[in-house]
Formats: sequence, C-alpha cells, structure tokens
Amino acid sequence: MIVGILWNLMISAGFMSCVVIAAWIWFHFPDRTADDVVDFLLPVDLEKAETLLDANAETHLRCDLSRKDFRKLQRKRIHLYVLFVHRMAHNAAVLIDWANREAEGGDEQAAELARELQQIAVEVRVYSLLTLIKLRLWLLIRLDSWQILPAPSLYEVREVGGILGLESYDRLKTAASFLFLEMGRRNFDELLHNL
Amino acid sequence: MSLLNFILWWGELPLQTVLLYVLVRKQIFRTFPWFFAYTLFAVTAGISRFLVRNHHPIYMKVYWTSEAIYPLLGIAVMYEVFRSVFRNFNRLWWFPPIFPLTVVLSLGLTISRNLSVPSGLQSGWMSWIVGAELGVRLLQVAMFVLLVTLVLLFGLRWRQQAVGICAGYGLFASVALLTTSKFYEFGTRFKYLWGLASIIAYSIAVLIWLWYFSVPAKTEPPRAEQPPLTAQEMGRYKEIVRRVRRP
Repeated sequence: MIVGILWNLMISAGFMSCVVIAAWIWFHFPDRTADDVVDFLLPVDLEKAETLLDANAETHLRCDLSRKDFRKLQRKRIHLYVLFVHRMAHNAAVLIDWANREAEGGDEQAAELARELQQIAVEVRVYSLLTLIKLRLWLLIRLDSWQILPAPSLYEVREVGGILGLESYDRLKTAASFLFLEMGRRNFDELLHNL
Repeated sequence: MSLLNFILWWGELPLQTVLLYVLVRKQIFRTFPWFFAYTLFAVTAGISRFLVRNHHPIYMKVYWTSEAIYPLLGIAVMYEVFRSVFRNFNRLWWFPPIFPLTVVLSLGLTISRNLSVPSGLQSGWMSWIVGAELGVRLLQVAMFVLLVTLVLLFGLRWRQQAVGICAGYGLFASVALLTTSKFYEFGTRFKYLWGLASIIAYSIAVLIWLWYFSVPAKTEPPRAEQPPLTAQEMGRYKEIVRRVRRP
C-alpha cells in the first residue's frame, strides 16, 4: 500500500518536474549581463544584521528588559532578520544568474572570478534558505511565546548547515566586486551600496 | 510490421547515431565519459538488435544482455550528472551522501514493489533485469526531481549540459515508469500503446540531448563600450573592495 503510494508519488513528481522545468524555461530571466545586476539587488544592512546576531547584545537585552518585553522584542528581531536573509537569498540568486553567464564567457580571468562568485553565492543561498526555514518555523510555532522554554536566540542562526552566514555574504560582496571590476564597470559604488 | 511501426520502433536509432556523432565532434567524452559510453553502447546495442531482429533466439540473447548492461551505465551516468551539477555543494558535509542515499532508497522501493507486484515473467533472471531497470528509472526520476528542485532553489543554469542529460532521462524515465505500472495494472490490453509511449518518450529524450549538445557554446559577451579604467579609478575601486571585510 505505502510502496504503491510512494511509487505513484514519484511518477507524479517526475511529470510535475517536466511541467515546472518547461514553465521555468518559458518565464525565466533572459541572459543576465553586468548591466542587469545593480538595479535588481536589494540592499542588506550588514552592520544591523551583525547586531541582531550578536550574543552579547542579546544577553544585554535579555537582562535589561522584562521577560514579556524581551519575547515581544525578540519576535520583532526575528522578523527583521528574516527580511535581511530574504534579501541575501535574492541577491545571491541574482549574482548566481550573472556568474553563470560570465563563467561561460571566453575571458579566462573573468570566468575564473565568475566560478568563484558562483561557489560563494551558492553557499549564501544554502545558508539563506536553511535559515529562512528555521526562522519561519520559530515564527510559525511561536517559539518566542512558550513560557516554559527560553526565548529563541538569534545567535543560533549565525551558523546554519556548517555555513557562517554573514561571513559568507561578506565574501560574496568581495567576489562580486572583483568580477564587476574585471568587467570594467563604472557604477561600482552602486553595486556595493545595493548588496 | 507496417512502415509506420518500423519507423516508430527503429526511428530512435538514427537519432541516437546523430547524437553519438555530435558527442564525438564536441569531444564530450572528456566532460561526460559515462554519458558518452552510454550513447555508444545504445547505438551498438541498437544496431545489433536491428541486425538480428529476424532471428528470434539470437535477438532474445542480444536484447536481454544489453538490457542487463543499461542499468549499470544508467547509474554511472546519473552519478556523473550529480557530480557535475552539484560540484559547488561538495564543501557542505550533508551533501555528498545524498546520491548514495537516493540510490539505496530507489532500489529499496523497487525491490519492495517487485515483491508485492509480480512481474509475470517466467524466468528469474529476466525479472531481476526488469527490476534493475525499474530501479534505475526510479533513480533517474528521483535525480530529475532533485535537480529541478535545486535548480529552482539555487539558480543553476538550465542550459548546462548535465541538466539536459538529466531532463532527457527524467522525461523518459517518468513515462517508462508510468507505462510499466499501467502494464502491471491493465495487463496486455494496452501493450502496443505503452510500448509506443515509451519509444516516443525516448525519442524526445534523445532530441533533448541533441539540442543541449548541439547548441553552440556562447561567445564572449561584449565588454562595456567604455575606455579602460584609469589608474586613479582603479586605485579607488580597489580601496573600496579592501574595505569589504574578508574572513
């Protein structure tokens, strides 16, 4: 019975994947060049994100505020970090798309930088998606409101799946900058501002 | 056998031969040696079957021997695709076990299904070959689903040749699994229809591979039509890059 269900489920998943890939081919963004990067990025305030993940700052808040106030504030902090991680995931996807194109180009130096950017962007994307799942689960089951358990600590999501999120994002910025320079772009400041 | 049937039954062989020609011409054996071996084997097996098609006992031997080799090549190709598409993920500790785990789960599910649904084949070794083929089809579908999911999540490039290989197998394997399951359920009533569907699906898969491997490599994108950066600008930009923290 279960085997039959799993079997049919796999067949259905196979056909659904065919439809999904066809839809994706139809709707996906056309070749992303260096011109199509800056305007599509969403700025991430890394200093603020760093503060959110700082264990000392969180401990201070935990001590200074009442239990109820801290839980309320922590929920807001989780929402804010979700927003940052969402932007990190989006930016990583844009950069992967761009790096994919440049990695296929004829210029060996640019292709090498693009492959480096690809690797780091995939790391950031993995971190972002795993972190989003974790944080949304916290928000879904309202872990911050459970009186018997301590309020969740944002410090726990500094490293997810063996990836240090903010450090990887920093490396992503550097890698993107190098590739941007290699492509001879002038609006370099905008790239750094929007990342 | 009518002309239409003949074309449908053997039409994939010229297509596969064209694919082999393209693979040789583009030296794909360097990047995807197992897929090249699979195609070479498919062409050889196809020609052998064609040559002995009127000698039933020899045809049976050739057919079942080649069918026994296909699953082994199928697993090797899927591993090659997995390694190629997900090479960026090897740094993550949880990623490498995914392939062996998928193989074990696919085989486990196939064995469970074969035990619960008898194949109807009289010979034991034929049942094993058919079972192994089903296992590989399931693995191909599982890999295809995994690939599509990760392509969407991580933005992998759909034009990558490995994605093309997997998409071809995924489509064919989905149809092959469906027809085999329905064959078990409805018996020989729709035998012709199921056979036809599988052949058409395989021909489409070969066309997908042909398309992926025939598309010329992209030429270098034109650089910005601006003069090169001045030394002053370069220095300023490098200073900004330096300000971005490094681990």
